[in-house]
Amino acid sequence: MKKALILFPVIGSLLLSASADQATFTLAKELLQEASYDLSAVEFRRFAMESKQPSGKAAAYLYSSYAYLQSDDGQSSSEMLDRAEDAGNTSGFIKEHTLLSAESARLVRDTDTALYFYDVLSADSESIDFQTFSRRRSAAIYLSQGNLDAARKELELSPSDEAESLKALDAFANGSDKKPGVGGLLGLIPGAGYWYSGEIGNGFRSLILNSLFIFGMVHTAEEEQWGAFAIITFFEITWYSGSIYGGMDAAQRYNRNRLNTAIEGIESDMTYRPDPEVVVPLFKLNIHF
Amino acid sequence: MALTERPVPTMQKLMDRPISNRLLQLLNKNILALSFAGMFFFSAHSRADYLDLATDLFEKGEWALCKRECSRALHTETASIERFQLLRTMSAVRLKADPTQTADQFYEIIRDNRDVQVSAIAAYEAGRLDWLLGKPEQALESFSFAFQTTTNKALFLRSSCSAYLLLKDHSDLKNGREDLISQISTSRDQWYGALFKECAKPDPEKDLPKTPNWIIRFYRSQISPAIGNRCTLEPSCSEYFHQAHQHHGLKSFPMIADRFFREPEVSNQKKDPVITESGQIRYRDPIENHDFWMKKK
Repeated sequence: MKKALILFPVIGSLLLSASADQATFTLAKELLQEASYDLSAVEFRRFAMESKQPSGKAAAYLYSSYAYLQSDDGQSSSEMLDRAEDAGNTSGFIKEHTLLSAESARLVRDTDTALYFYDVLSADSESIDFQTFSRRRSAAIYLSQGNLDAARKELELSPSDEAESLKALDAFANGSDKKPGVGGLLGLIPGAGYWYSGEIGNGFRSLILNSLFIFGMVHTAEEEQWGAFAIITFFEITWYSGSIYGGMDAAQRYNRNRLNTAIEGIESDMTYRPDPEVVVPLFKLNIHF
Repeated sequence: MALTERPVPTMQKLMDRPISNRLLQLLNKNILALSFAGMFFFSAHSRADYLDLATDLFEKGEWALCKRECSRALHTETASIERFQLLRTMSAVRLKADPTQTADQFYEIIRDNRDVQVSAIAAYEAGRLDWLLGKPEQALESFSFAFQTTTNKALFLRSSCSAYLLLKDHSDLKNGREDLISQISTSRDQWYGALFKECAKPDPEKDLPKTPNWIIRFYRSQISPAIGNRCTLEPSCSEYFHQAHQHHGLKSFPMIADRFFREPEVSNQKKDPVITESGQIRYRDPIENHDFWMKKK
């Protein structure tokens, strides 16, 4: 009886502190679901600070890292991963830590580091989902670096069926980039720069506007209406330089769209998010394809 | 305000202080006009994490989050209150709070706390606000207090440089302050180019969006009201031209011409629609999609 009397307040206070912690965690998760990533990351950090267990602390920092990644803050995400490591017990979520490290590095365009972590994940992870994810990400990075052979090799090593990804890669390899310099040069003939990159309508609009204003220039010069001539010439210079710039810009956009289409084809809308069923002191990422 | 009643360390002691690596990191990142984190790096109290979180948010420029974090801590914490108060007020300054009110808050912090470093930072910040508010004498008093009491080299350099620039603007304040001027001159050889920019008179319009050039002003005031909002893209063509002009100067002319050529096609594709405040549907065509390959100013 006496023991119970002593134990009740102890257990009660433990439950109370647990529920206080839980409230912060629940709030952080709700904010994550609402896509308020910055706020969510801060709440997860607070939860990590309040956690007594090293594994709980580490898991909360991983959640925070994930939230920062969603808000496109790779540097903060990386800092949270360091803190998770400093907290101690991360042995339960090594592959999650590696994946988040790779994603943080990718976000800050540190491609060498990102490739290193994806390699680690491809080689060491027993999960087919994680391996597939990292192979595809590596392939996408190699592709954006122009290394098609390495991209293809990554996809061939993937444990999943990569027929669609390889098809996207082949489509990219069979096409060719447009040269922005050529686009700009062709832009000297109003409209031709756009036509070079397949923007037919834009080319005709450029041609028509330039033609009208050149006609206006000639007509006002013949009529010796020099005030009108100056105004029309100002606009014509703008249209003409727009045609040259547009030729270059259209080629650049064409190349970027081509690359993005190939990357989207390789990655096939894959995403990852924390398992909603798992709560700290655990952290588990689910990958969706 | 009896700022000068505080104990003043000797000049040699001030000059000999090492700068922490953390502080150097911050300076290199050029995030802080005032290196706050360097002061509290070796926080010894048990709830240092919260201060660390607030400081981190401050460093990242998340002023609103930092202010909220400090307010929360001030409700629950009993340690380091003055530091949270200082961070909160510094965040408020960066959120463009009323300078008179925030200056008063800094003076309250100086008056109520016992931490000399906190007082030194608060004095420097109060001095900047007083300078902005046209109270040069009070500003000089605050700068000299910060300069004479801080043990942080970055703050020491900033407060001395600010005091120098203030005295340059108000030469009448030099009378009877030969000692101070002589002290300031001892730190001059450590000043660097960027410091002058950071320590110059605060400009309330510095972070405000730049006024559009006369072409856009003329279009918006004379033409647009007559023809209505005809642009179907977001940002509007005048805003696109303004942004292009800010980033690329004269190249903005071909850029806006190119946009006129493209506008019907972008609208017809109906990709990425946004609804404006007036309820109009527009299609996103940000400048970033067209200058990612160009060097920016």
